[in-house]
Amino acid sequence: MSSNNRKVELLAPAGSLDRLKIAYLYGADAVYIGGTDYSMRANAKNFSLNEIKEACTYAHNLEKKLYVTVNIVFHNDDYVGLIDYLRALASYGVDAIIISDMAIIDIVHDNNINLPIHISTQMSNANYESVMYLKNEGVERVVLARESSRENIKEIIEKTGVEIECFLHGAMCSSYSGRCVLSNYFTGRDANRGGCAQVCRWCFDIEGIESDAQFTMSCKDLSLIKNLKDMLDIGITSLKVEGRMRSNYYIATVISTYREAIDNYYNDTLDDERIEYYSKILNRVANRESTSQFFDKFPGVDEQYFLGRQELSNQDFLGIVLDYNQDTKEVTLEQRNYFKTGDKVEMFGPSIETFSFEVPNIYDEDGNNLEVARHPKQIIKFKLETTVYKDDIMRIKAF
Amino acid sequence: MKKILVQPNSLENLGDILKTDITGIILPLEHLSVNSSIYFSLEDIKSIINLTSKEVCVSINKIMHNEDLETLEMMLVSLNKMNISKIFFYDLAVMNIVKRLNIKKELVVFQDHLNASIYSNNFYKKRGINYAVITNDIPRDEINEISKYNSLMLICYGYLPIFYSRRYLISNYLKYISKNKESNIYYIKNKDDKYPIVEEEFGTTIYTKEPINLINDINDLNVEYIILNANLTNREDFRSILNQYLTNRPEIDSSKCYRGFIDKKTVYKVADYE
Repeated sequence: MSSNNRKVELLAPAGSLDRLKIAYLYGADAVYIGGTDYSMRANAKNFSLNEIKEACTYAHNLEKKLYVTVNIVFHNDDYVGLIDYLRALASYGVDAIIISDMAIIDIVHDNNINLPIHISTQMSNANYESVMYLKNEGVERVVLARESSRENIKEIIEKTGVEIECFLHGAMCSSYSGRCVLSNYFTGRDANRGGCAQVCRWCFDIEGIESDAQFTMSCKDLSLIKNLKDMLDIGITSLKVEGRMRSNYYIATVISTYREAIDNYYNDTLDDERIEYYSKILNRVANRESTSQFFDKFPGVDEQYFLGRQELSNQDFLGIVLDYNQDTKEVTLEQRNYFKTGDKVEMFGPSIETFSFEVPNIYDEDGNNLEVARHPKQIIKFKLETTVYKDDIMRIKAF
Repeated sequence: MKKILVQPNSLENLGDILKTDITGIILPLEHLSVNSSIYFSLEDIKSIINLTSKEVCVSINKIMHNEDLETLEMMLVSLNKMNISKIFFYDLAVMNIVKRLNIKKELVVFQDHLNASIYSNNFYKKRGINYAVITNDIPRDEINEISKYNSLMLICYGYLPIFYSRRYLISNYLKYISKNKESNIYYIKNKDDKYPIVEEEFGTTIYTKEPINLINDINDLNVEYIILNANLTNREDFRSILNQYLTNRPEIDSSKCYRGFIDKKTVYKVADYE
């Protein structure tokens, strides 16, 4: 464990209020969200001002933080209403805004808006001189380019003293962020204003090259669970999970896994066996392969996808606990994927140690015995000796 | 007539353009620049300055990593002593070093697809940046609106980089399919269009399917400088293009010019559009 006494922040994405609550519940120290305006991921549901206010109150009641992305590259017309919007965020006590357009620095400062500024990875900052420049502009934190290596990150932290945030887990752009407008020129959708059509994942023929495997720019996802100790040792302030459009189950699984791993680190129990276990859990919830990308090496062919690989949806998420009756030892669960009596499953949640069991007899809401739970959102009841709580999650026992 | 800056694609091309009545040239600096088929050392630049009375500008458009900073600082110190006209930059590291070392050269912010608004460009202007190369991703009326407050340059001819990765995407692919790399330039095919994809020292760039050509639009654009980039265009074709711009006599059917977003907007909120 490092001599660095400040505990790292685990930063989760959320595309809606229920996902935000799941993220906090499962161990996030902070959550980043986008408003319905001025935010990338324009296709995510995103938050109205009222929802941002509610999210902020919810976070602060838990003594956790909330960041709001204001990270589009602005065009002239996009500034309409921005100052009022930023003032509203400040009045709610939003802990910081994440920006990629330098204009916002002046707008915040010139209008005396009390909002700390974090610089988005969209600006691709990867060196200590640019980070120093931003520090002198009054920026609180910089999210580094995903092309940054361990040594680069360490040196930036040592030489600047600025809060540094790095991506920990999730999908990656194949390009430097901010330098890809394939969407604009292939589909008309504005990549730097949230309209990315993920052209980098399309398959192409290359003129003059015959092959069954088509070309793509696509790269595998990022997972730094095996490098977590290193990331904490070098003093990164915040570890960010990508994915404002991800599901409740994904957020719960990824955040709870990293929460546990980070806590293990600080109490000196993060050993190779645990890391291997966490790695399996994270691989299982993903629908794409992952690697450490630029953190510990220069990525090559093994960090890319070819062959137009199918991305399979994960069926592990079996249900979410709605209630547990201590007297009758009965669980009420909302079904998400097919399961049946006799299946080996496990339960995990923010207040329980993960445990496994065999699904006992199951019943519907009216007490009718069921052979299988096959209907999404169906209410299922069964007996369970171990206490579980609302929002605990039942999944397939894979390991 | 607007001032014309040209970025050459070879020494032969440089020789051609220096004989013409252009305002100046843009020379990508070796080790610190990307998206060019030719790079110039400090010695090269000194020699070229001695050959011409035109503006000699230097482009430093790489995204810097820590290991680049020593070279960057050394190059900026050297450039400060040379008779160059302007330094084009992408990375904020350049601004920090210029400020710290009190370097007195005109600076041009050139961030491809960022800085697409009045306020964004004002940010740089307030900090002493002299010019901005405005993005080609916005239409004419927005460019002209920004030009009321900022001194602008615009790429009016050339293949635009629309994707730049640090990764060696062609080499990786060829390795995957067990084929040898026979060129640094290939073309990816999308329906009937072909997009140049170029791999070089610092990664891989994909360019627009055709060179943008705003020859018929320049009189309606309130920019101080127009930039013509010869990268990926052959010598004879570029001579012809340059001549058209110099004489300001459009000889190309407008419908045959690829004009990007000069007369249309990108789609912001897809849901609204759909």
